[in-house]
Amino acid sequence: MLRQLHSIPGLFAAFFVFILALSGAVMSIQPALDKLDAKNSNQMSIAKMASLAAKTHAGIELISQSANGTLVVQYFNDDGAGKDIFDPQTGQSFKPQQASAIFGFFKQLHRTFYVGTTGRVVAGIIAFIMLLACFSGLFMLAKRLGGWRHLFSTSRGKKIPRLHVDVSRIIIIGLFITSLTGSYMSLAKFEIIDDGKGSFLAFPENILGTDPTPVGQLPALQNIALEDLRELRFPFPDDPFDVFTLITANGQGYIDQATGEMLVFEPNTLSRNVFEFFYMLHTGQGLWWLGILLGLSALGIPIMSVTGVIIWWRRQKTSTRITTNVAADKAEIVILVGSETNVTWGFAQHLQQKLAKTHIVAMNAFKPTTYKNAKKIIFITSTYGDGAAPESASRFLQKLDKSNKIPNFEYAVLGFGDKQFTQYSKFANDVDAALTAKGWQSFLPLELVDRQSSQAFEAWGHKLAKKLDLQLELNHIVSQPKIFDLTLNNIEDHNHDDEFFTRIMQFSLPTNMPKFAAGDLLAIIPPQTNIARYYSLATSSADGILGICVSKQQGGLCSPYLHGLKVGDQAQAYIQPNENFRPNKTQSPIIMIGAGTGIAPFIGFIANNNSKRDMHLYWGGRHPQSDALYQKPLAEHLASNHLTSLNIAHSRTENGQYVQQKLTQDADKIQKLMAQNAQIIVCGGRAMADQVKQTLADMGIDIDALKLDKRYIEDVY
Amino acid sequence: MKKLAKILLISTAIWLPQVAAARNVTFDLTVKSYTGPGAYVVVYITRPDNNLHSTIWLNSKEEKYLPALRGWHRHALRQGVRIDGFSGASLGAGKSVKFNVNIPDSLIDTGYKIQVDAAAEDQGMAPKDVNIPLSSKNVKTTGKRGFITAFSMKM
Repeated sequence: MLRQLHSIPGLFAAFFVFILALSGAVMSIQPALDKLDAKNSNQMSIAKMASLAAKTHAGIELISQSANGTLVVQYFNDDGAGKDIFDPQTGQSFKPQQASAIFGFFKQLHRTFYVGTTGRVVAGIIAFIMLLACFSGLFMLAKRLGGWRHLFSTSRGKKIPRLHVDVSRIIIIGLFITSLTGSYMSLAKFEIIDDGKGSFLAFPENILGTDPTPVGQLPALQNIALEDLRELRFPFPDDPFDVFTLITANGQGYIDQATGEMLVFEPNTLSRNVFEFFYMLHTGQGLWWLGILLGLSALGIPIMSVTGVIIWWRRQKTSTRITTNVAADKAEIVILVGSETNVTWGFAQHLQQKLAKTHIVAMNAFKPTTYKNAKKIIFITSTYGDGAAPESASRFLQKLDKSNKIPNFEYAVLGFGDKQFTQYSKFANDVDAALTAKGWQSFLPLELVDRQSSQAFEAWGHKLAKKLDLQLELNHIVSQPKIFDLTLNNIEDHNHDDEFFTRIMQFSLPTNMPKFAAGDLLAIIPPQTNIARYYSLATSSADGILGICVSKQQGGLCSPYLHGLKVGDQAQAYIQPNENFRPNKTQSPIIMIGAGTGIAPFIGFIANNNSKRDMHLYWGGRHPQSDALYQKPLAEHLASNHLTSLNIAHSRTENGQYVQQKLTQDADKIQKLMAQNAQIIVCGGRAMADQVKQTLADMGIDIDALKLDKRYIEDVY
Repeated sequence: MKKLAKILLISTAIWLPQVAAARNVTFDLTVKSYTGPGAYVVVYITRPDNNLHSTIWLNSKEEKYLPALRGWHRHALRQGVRIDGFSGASLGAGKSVKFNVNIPDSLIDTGYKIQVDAAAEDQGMAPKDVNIPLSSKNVKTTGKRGFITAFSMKM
């Protein structure tokens, strides 16, 4: 719902918003430029200033002051009509006042799109839509980032949604002001809201019509500060019954040109003051710095429009159509889907197509009483942001709460998530817990799939097949990237006891390969299968080579294949970006913790440490003779200060220890580094990573808080 | 505060009387070219004593913009006018307009004047830009302040 409220008006408005934003940004400079022409008036009175201006300008008709303090005199004499900017201290003009054609052009574009009243209506509607998008966006932002408290925490996820979020956080206040005031001004323009401009003073009747007094001596003008002046209109010279019209910040009045008395003065109404305040906020007239800030915010809008459209488009593209869906009451298996970006739908759909007599539906459409022939019910759900329900499951838990009958079918839950988030697949856990609490029977324990891993999905499919007693090969890949043929050009094998094999491999870099950084993943596709296995890259594109480190898994599919390759052989692969697994861009220290082949990305991080920030590597291997990985480069990096300290734990030696024990020994040092805002990067097996986490937590390090700050990142397999 | 609306209601009929002895007069006027929203223009007749006789063409009914038509508005405030019956559309920059009015013979060549005020946002005000005797001769002129770039009156 929130998403529809955000994206549908957003898409509709994107084009117009683009124009409003760019024209608005151009005009935002105007108050600041105008301000440059404002001369210091040293708290003089209107009378003094007007008298000076009248002396130097024959046929003076009007003096006006812009909200930014620029004074303009308008006159008409034998030389014709003129309009000049002048200095109140001397009354002298210093440049003609000319309406800028550029600002004029953009102002008209901004207000009407050059289609008159229709355009004005559109501009008003767009302003209102932007206001809605600000509100709905703000709520989505809070939801995505895990609550209002985290509104300013680091955003995670893919590049484009992240850009959308990051830009929105910078510009939302400006956007809110602009769209609120813009909506208001549009309503005022169409007289739906009173702007207080409609009424003006009736002409006074008791005018003497005797000889006029020079403007400098008019008593009514003596005591009004120049800064309050908006406009002073002089009477027509040939009309003794005409009056001075004075408009100030506070109201307007008429002054008798003979007596110089204020004949009548009407203060501004509240609606007038409100209008002026909103006008100032919207245009920056009288608040030039705000104008500039709002203009800069407006420049973010094209980014928001483009990224917004891309996000919407991607979601459309990944939304798969369900072709053969068995009716709910006839199906033997029901798949319920909780999906935010439709990626999860893709997986669920894939499963549905491989199963017979299966009904698939969004979790929000949950209706257990209609599943009359169901034997099994499978929940496949992602988690939104930090633990929230994804869109298509947002009402599921409520619905479940209301259903009290324990069904005779059994359930299983498969959760999709991202370990980068503190609440890894929390919603799937919640669903599982809620079902258990309701007394439902599970036929397969909860399983979690990290970052759309095809392997994990395939493995879960095998377990499911066993329970359902059928054959099931799940091979769903989210999107097929461009695959490259890589040539192996260097091998370094490490093995000692013929039991454990590790291989450092380098492939030559194809010229058209997309850019990558150390820590990104090289997805290798072994022959006769279409499921890639991921290996952390130890190099970046700049190194001109693709380096990975592979340990041989007995009975594995990909690692034995890689271990069987010879120099000159080819392998099929593509790059899987892993943007959340990179050293942050500060100069704070980095603590890298890993075991086994988990060292690979660290080698790349260290090699790229050209700024020589503090980098500490904690690494666990088996035995100095068995897996002394990257020994030579590490020694070089230490010597060149790319690496500050190297701490190796060996598990298969006498008094062997694990990497987490090394950490415990170094607790003081680690505490000190954390006090310097150090970032912790973990890479390696799940068991090791869990141990490390426990060890750090025991030291009093709040890992969840660090994760929110991207100061604790991991790549775990 | 008395609003103009009130004055309008009590207006002393400044509406051209339907008299037999009248001439059909064709006016044609063009406003200057500039970048920005359209101009507001008023064409009116003044008496020999310089008071307003009648308003013959006005393209704004929005009260808030009327003060910009400075010369005419001065009269309007003092004497009251009727503005219903006029169009509310502004005249785009550089655009022309042509209209016919029946003017009683009694006003022609007897000291009455035709005056034109114009104004536009950011372009300033041009009161009495055209200010010519209401004569039986055909007239072609330009505004003194340059806002009305062409003005003609044909009988």
